[in-house]
Amino acid sequence: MPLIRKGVTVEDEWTTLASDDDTIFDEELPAGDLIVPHRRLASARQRKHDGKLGVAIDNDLDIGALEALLGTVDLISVPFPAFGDGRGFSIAKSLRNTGFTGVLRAHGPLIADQAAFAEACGFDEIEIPDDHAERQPVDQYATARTAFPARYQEAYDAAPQTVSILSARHTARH
Amino acid sequence: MYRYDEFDESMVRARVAEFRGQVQRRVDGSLTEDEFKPLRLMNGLYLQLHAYMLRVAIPYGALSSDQMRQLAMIAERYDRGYGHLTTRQNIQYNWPKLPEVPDILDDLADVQMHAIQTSGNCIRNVTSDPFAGVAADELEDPRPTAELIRQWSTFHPEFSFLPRKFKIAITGSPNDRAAVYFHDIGLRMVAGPDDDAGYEVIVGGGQGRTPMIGKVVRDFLPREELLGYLEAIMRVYNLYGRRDNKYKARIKILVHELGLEAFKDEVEAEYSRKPDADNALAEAELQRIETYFAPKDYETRPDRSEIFEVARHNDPAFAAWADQNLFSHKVEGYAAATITIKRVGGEPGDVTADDMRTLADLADRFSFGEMRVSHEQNIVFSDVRKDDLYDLWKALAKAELGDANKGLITDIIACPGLDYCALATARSIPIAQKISTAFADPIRQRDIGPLSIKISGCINACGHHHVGHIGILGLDKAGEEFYQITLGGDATETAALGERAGPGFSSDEVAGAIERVVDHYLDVRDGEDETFLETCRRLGPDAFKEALYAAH
Repeated sequence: MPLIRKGVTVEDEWTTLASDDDTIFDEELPAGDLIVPHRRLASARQRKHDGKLGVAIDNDLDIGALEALLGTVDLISVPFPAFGDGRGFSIAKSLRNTGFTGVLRAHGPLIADQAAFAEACGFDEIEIPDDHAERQPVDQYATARTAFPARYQEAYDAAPQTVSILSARHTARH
Repeated sequence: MYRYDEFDESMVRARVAEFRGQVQRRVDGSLTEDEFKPLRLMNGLYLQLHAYMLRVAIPYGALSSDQMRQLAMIAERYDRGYGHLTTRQNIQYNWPKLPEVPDILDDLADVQMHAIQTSGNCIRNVTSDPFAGVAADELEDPRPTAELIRQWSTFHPEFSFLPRKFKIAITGSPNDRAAVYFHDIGLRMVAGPDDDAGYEVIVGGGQGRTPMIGKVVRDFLPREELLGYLEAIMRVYNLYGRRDNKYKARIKILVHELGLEAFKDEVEAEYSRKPDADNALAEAELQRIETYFAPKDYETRPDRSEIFEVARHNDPAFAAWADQNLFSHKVEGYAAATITIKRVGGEPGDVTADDMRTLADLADRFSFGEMRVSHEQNIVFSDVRKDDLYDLWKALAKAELGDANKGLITDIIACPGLDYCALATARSIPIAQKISTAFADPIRQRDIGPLSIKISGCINACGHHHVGHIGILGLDKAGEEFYQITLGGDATETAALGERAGPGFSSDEVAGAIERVVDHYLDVRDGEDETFLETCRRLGPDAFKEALYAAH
């Protein structure tokens, strides 16, 4: 599962624990940075563990449940069940609005043309399926993320489009 | 009207380049058809029954004469010499070829136009009152807000992959000509407690297979808070709107299932989380946009025009048009004129390239080089000197564009139907043609008075049949087209959904059925001043059933 950051493939330093494998929680957690399923987060936090902790959430959490994650993890992996399901964009933006400063990972078959949107909403990285990456090489993500010179929206500052048109116009007049 | 600055220009050009690349990536296999589909839709490109269809945005209906000439050029170069005005103030081309679409988009960009977000599960073209800025009954000009929303919603990082499409309309007049109760979000410009400017916010209206009248979520929203509040609504929808069933994915279903109060609470809670730091910026932007909508260079003239009055007295055909197709202007000595694109026996909203050039030339001569497309699929010249109205009408009449049927029974709204549309279950256009032919007599039309017939070729209701005074819904029953009739619908501030009259009619029977309803209305109306809708409200739709089914 290739991991893309700002249009470049990077090494995944996190280990994702499968959501259906419960046995792992019977013992000590393995060392290293771990992404655990949301339903296992509470128990994982109680265990001794040498490394950072991340969580893979479902995409139907409400804002209250998202707020509850604050201060508990260093990474949140937000699933995109399909690229047309844009709920993850609002989940990311909500997490950033509530003050989450850790890593936000989009997980799913996002297409290249969504890379800039994902970043603008606060995602740091996109993890795409292998077959998806074969069809859409990473350079397509790199090209697409800078396809636009600016953006109209305020407060989506993490976008590669650093200029908000509103503030640029405002600055030009003053 | 609004003009692009270098930012708008660069964004639209970047979009064309992006789409060119996407077409290329579809061709080389990088993108699957499933992946390409939403991308082409967000550039207005549908795959229809026979061919691709390109829907070009006309933001809040505003069009310059140069833009209209370019639309004519596109119709001739890439299509079959005509275009189709839609109920959301857009124009559609029915026969473009996929490889040529990026070129069409380039040609559109040359005149500051685009096809951005005219389809897809994103925020669509913002619509408004075709008389915005000139209507005598207007509280405030809604166009600057509409333009602000156009920009804010364009390529929105968070709201471009919504559960379903999202439509916003705004009116600046208490007399709603933008159908704000039938949009995902409707905005009414209202004065606040201290006479400050702002909006009443209506959410969850819509038509389609589950028609609903929108509900007020905020009585008064100060104008500088608009974008922040819209963002809160959109986020609640994007997080909680259903994605398991496309027929239950519109915001109206979310509002309905949560209940209005719970929905309001969610929106207000989300809104309260947002810092208001960028309100000042949005307000500054609104003020910048407003400068583009400053009043035209009007001449100071008496309100009464002798030239107009004499012509009206001497030429009954002109008098009929003047009585029916003119609208009160806020500036003395001027009027707004509706040019109906509803030729008897023609296709509602279809304009040929020649029509387009004629309209462009006349707009240059008579209306400051600008026009609007109305959601009734007509054209409005918003600023005509009363002294010029007779000359304008004579030129229109010569081009067969001078029909005096605005708001009358032949001013029919119809979707493209089974003749073009892949979703349709029945034809719409031939039904419209039959009805307009049956009621072709202008004297009879005037006697009947205001009556809107709206025809949809399937339950998706693109022809707005739910809000037609008489609505016609085309369905398919065992391979045969048949048509259900609804009565009493109303798209304005007295919003109502039409009620189904009973069993449907075959395509050969519809026009006759409508004639029976209308004849019954003429029999039972309480004087000539009582409109069809008023009679329908007074007596109830059931009162028409006997007449409607008399021959059955």
